[in-house]
Amino acid sequence: MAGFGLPVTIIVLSVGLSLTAQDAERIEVVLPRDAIPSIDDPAFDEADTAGRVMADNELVIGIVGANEQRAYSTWQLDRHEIVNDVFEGRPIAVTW
Amino acid sequence: MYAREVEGRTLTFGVSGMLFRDGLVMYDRQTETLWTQVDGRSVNGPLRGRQLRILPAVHAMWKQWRTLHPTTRVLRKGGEFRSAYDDYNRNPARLGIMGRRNADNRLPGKERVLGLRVGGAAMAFPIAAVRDARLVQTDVGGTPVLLVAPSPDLPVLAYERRVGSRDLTFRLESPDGRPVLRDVETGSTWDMSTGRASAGSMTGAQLNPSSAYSAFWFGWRGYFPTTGVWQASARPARE
Repeated sequence: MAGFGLPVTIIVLSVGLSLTAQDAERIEVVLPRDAIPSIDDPAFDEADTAGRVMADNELVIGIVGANEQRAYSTWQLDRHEIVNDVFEGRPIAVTW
Repeated sequence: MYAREVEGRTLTFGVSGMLFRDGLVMYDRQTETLWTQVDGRSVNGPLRGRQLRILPAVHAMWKQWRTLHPTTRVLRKGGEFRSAYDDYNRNPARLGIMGRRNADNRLPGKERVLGLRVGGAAMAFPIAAVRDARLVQTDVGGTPVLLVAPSPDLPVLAYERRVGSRDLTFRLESPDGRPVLRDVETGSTWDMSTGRASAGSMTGAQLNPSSAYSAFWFGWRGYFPTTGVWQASARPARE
């Protein structure tokens, strides 16, 4: 999320939520639901393949398991924000 | 990064289109509960009050990550050759969506920090200062932690320094040119990339990784207003 604080220019669409007063002060609706599509069926490449389209200074989010490591590019996550994945048999959400 | 299981149910998340303190709000498709992306709290809906279990993630540059984990797999790309926010990321004057001010001048607004949350406390570590120090040992929320950045080729890694009930103190060494951590108390050596003791009386013991969140200072401070800031000058004798 670009170090949070989305930088794009967005028009506030509505604020008619059923929230407590405390949270309503703080939650802003800036886009329709799913206007930014999560990734729900992620596919993975080996490092050599991925390396052809990755920049050295590309910020990734990495996870280390017992037998596997995975990296998720934040440049890609800028456009999806969430990956619903399964890692070593465990459902995980990679978020940005 | 979070486990998607809550009380025995597996959730899938989507982007709600809402922001909470400038941070993304997710919703789950099973119950439509709203969850904060930054710290995994449910803020509205049937599961309100629950907390997603945080999984330790490493934020690193691709080259650093690959050096550390050559066998890594990578989420397949769809043509994203630069960040959607490339210009924004480079511009020190642009703070956030609504044009936020930097409310706290302990650091410049766009200073890159690693944010740690331990035991309900938050601490921001300026990445440049951590890289200068190479090894940082301090406490966050009453838990001893370390951040280690042995070289520019490797990411900054964060671990808790408590194993069982024992607090450990570390030195950074490179006996054969390869950096390792050695604890002062037992002399055991620890693999930085896994946090596992590889030699000595602690062999097989594991340091818990801490999730270190890469963020701009103003964003971290905006979300966690009571955050501390680690300063190298305050701890000159710890290395």
